[in-house]
Amino acid sequence: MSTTVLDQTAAAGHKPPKPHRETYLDAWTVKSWLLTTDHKRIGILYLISITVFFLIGGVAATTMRLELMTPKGDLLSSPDAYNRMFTLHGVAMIFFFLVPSIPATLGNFLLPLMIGARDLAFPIINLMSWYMYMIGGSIAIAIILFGGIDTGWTFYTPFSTMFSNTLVVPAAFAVFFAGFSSIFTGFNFIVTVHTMRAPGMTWFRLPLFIWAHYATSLIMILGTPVLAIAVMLIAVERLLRVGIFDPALGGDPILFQHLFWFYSHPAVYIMVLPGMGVISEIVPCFSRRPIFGYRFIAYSSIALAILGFIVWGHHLFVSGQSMYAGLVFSFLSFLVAVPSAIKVFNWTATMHKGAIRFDTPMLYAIGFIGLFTVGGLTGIMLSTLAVDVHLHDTYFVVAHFHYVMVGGAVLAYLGGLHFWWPKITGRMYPEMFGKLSALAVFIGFNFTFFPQFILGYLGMPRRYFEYAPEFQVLNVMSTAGASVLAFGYGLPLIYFLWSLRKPPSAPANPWQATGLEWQTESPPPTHNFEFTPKVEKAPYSYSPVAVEGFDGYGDHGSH
Amino acid sequence: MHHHVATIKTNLIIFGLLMLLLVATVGAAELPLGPLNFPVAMLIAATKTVLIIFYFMHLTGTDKLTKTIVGTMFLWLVLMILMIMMDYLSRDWLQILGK
Ligand SMILES: [Cu+2]
Repeated sequence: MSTTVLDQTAAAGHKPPKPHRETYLDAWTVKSWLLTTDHKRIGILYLISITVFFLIGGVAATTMRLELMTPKGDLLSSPDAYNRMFTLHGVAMIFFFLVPSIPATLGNFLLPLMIGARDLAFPIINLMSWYMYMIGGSIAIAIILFGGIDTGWTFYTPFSTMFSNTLVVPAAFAVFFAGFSSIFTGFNFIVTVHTMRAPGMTWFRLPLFIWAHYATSLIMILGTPVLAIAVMLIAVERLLRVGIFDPALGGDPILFQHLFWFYSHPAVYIMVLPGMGVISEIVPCFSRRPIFGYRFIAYSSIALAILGFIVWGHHLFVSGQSMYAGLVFSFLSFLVAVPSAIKVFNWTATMHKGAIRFDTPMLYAIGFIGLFTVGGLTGIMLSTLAVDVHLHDTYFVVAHFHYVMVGGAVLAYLGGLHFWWPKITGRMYPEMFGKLSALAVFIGFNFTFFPQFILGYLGMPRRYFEYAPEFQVLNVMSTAGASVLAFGYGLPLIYFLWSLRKPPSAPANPWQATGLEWQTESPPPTHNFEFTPKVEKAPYSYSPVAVEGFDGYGDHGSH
Repeated sequence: MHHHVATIKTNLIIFGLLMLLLVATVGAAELPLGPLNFPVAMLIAATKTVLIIFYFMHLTGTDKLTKTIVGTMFLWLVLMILMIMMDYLSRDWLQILGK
């Protein structure tokens, strides 16, 4: 390790005088942002864009929860308006928020820093990825303004091709472009990990965040083309009346479900694997212990990427798929529990006998572990053939995937954002408010979605505008929880922005973490490192002794 | 890295082969092969694809890693089709009363 590194670590504890040094944030012209090829700046462009879609999706969710306060449809003008609302929520949150959330923001920013590279392998393609996303996103916003779409985010045929008279074809194009933005990201990450690792950064010295992103990238390039083609086929059938999915024209509607879920089940792992990578960074750092079972966690990421591709039929148990195929898909779905459990047990074992600190990122990480476990286990229930006949298309399914997507992916995203905020912006956030937001999100989330498990089990179908009066109490609980959740989401939005008002003052390594990204300044210089990083040890070489000088936000905080 | 530069001659040969295969596609579609029409058409299409990937997209001159990734993608396509066929081929196994 070079001497520069040691000096920086030593200086991290007290307040160093900050002469101006060059950082990646120096240029502030419009051109310097829109034409940047710096992976860190593109990460920030993505951060801003996905936040906009998170807010759009959030407004749709709020409207739905308010509508569902009463059994009668009284807030929205018609059931069709409600259909457009949940479709908007799904499309915005899945394709324009969750899929790019961690990879395109934190992944973009951190992947080169973590492996000691100056940038991604193809910086211009990285910028093109953001433009693809923006084209898709602009189409999506135009769709909202010109009447919306009512098929659900799943675009099931024959409704989407034969019956819906909303903007299905533009939506297909929006998804197509968003898909290509993630293909560009995925293949850039794969090439970068293969070719641009710093000297000494062997495969088994890679942070688990990188392993998780490598696995995610594999899914992105292997799965996304199928989604892009499936939605294009919908456009082709709608516009040209070529028989692909419509039985009247010689097609098969279930074929669409096969193609759609061949991508969209693995897409669950596009959304949650990067989150698992974030948790694997946070847990050892705040437990001051090396990660337990490094290789098992690394391999389980790859296992999830592969297994994720052969279970999609569990979405088709009651759709007319052959029962024998259903049996095979049910069995394969159970297998996914193995690599998922390996991760959960290894994180728990890492915390065992650790010197645990409950800072904001760690609170989010612990929340992730618990909620992801609930989401995973209810997934096992749903992949049981007979149980699924009862639970299919009920609120039980809605609760299950929100435990994975929100309890898992979003909590990891927020945890990661807090963890690396000092690195990205050079500012600390107010720790007290951070803890409050983690707590509000956890409590609000459970209040929102746990009642939905019960609602679904009792038989309340999803995607209904009106419902039987006996379900009202649980629905009101859910809506009340959603307002706490919204408060928990709103806090970071405010204090993160608020933290930007002062000049950067965060130390290079506020958490005394071991990754390469912490060895360069906060915020990093344009070329990431002022020295060539050299790696000589295994990752996560934490020991309780290193807690000395760990002042976290300490005197650099905003009090 | 070693860069494979395709000569104009190779490209022309591949182009000629692709044109022959195009004729073969049209011809095979006219032949009364019954259930074999589809597999034959797929076989010709796959051959065309392989030629394009290896020569026009320069896979011949690249390293092992690129070949592995392209191979994996092909494998994934096969996996998808096979597992979808698992549904279609076994749909009628279960006799439904009254049907
Ligand atoms: Cu699934």
